[in-house]
Amino acid sequence: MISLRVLRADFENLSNGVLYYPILISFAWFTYYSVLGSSKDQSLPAAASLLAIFVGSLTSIATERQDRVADRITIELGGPRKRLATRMTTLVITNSGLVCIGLLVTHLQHSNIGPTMAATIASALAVIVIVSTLGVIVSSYVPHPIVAMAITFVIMSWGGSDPSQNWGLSHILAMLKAQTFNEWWAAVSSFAWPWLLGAIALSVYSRFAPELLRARRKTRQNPTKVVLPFWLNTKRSFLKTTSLAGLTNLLPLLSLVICLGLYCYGTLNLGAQLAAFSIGSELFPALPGLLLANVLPALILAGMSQRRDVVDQESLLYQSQRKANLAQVMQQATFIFSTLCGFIILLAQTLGVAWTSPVVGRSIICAMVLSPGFATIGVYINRIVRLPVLAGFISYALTLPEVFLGKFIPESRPYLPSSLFSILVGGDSSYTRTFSTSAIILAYVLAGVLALTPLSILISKRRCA
Amino acid sequence: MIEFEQVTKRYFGRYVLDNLSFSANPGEITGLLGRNGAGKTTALRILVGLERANSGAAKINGTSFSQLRPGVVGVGLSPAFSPTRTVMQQLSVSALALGASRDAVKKTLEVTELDNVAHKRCMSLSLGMKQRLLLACATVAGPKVLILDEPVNGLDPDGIAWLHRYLKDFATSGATVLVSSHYLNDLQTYANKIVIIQGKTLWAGHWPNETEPSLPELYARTTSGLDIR
Repeated sequence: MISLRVLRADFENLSNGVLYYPILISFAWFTYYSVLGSSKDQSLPAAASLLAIFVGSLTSIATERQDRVADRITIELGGPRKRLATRMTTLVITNSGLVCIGLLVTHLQHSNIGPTMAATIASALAVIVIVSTLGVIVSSYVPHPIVAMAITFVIMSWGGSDPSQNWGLSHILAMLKAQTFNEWWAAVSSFAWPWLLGAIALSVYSRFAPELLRARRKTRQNPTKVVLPFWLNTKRSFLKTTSLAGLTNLLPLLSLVICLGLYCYGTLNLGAQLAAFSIGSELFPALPGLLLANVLPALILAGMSQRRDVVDQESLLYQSQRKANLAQVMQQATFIFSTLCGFIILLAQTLGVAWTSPVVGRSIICAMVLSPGFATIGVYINRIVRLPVLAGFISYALTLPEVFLGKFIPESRPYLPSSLFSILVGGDSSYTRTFSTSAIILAYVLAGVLALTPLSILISKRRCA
Repeated sequence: MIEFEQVTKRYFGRYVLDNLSFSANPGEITGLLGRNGAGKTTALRILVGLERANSGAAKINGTSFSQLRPGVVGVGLSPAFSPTRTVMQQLSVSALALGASRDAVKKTLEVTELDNVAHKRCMSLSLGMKQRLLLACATVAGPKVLILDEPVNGLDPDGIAWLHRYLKDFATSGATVLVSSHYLNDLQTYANKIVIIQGKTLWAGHWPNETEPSLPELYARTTSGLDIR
């Protein structure tokens, strides 16, 4: 039995410890209200707002584990089972409050009261209960928030961006549009099965994992033999230390790939639903522009995956904050450049653009020139902004609002970040195909400023923080 | 030699350090004591350049940490490492940055008894093992000055005994050791000098002291009536 005391305690944990939760839910509602005015399909916005609870529920316990408060919370709430039951209850209440009350108010505002409203709220409740209960069980086995984000990315992108094909959206839409109870129940069941299977599989695995790992350890040959890395014999240099420290620390790279993928997918999906894009037949110049516009937000969000004391520990390797900043910029710029190259080549291959075409070459050159600038700004923001929630908010504020600006203020389209980067890549942007001279000048000024930004570290007087 | 000269640090108008002054001499182990929030960790972070003082200066051998040759100072502040690195990779990266040899890495692994977990990832280490790794990274280049923040946290009795021996031998060889701790009984077994702070220096002197019978008594008397910040 869950007491009111533990529920109250967990509501406090939910508001403080879960990094992405309030931001994501607020963002979902911003999306919802914005889309509502423009979309002809009234079911889509409700489905979009429900997608936001996926990442909130899946990162719920993983973020607490990263913050090293998970064990304390488990003890406070009376053990692992009670902790899971409590978190399920608090998430169901929170999500229901945020989503269902919002839906109710919006339906009342539009005088859309009746069976449709009841069906929408019942469907929303079904999704919330499934994701907030089974999702919490899955979350309790997720080792790191970035893994939770990767899982969310896979779930949200499974089946493509078309709402009728996308796994999550198609099931939620089927619930929302069901005419009979049997149709609705069939949709709910097919949505619930994968979550249930995931939760059972992880529970079973965790029960047998210690034995499996022990058996595997026993078969290992000579586990205590120490092999020193070959590069240890070489002479010490700043470049060598920086590159080897970067190569052995792959978490920031992994986080960047996931965050960049998540943002690009989110922007494309939102833009498609808002009908904000006016992409012509030439998709390629527009998409690298969108990709470049999402680098900085992704970098800020990815920076949250690395604990601050780990960054401090890395800084001590260089004995100087300036050198440490420079090393971090070099590592991040390399990560950004390689990730962008990977995405650009993937896009070119998917869209049937030859690798040798000028637009691919220009995209890669842009990535090479701009990556150090992005890295420098990202490093500075991550050093200044100490609150992960604030970093997450800045990250969101830098990316997705441009879709709304592009949709609702057409005059701003040539000056939006992705349009400016598309100019640099040498083609149409996602929002417009006509650029004024001032937009072109602004794009090159932006490129110049970004290219010169890394110099700020070299001329910085701050030798020691 | 480590010197704090009138170091002041404010966070949003609140004084964490207020004209903090003390020194740690070569050949001695200086223990930095204080209540929670007294500014011990902030003082050490200022000393190694992770924070900036609003006024005053913290110097090692007469200069700032960033001006010293890599490897001269060993620093162990927080046992936090990249989770994807193995113990060997972490120690090797530190060794490479500080200019330590291959043999030094091998020897440090043996001395800190990390050779059995050398190929384990840092994320799977216990707090005690992480603390050992932190000490290994701090000492791999054979430093002349050692700065440690709460080094016995998470260490088992063998590890603590080893640390005591290591620090005593290290100081005897003429090196400077500054250790922050709140384990009074632990500190009084190996420290030669005690500095009690609460934003500023409350008491500083050599230890054992003829006029002060026990460190817990001295500490209780010095810090009684002070608010936790």
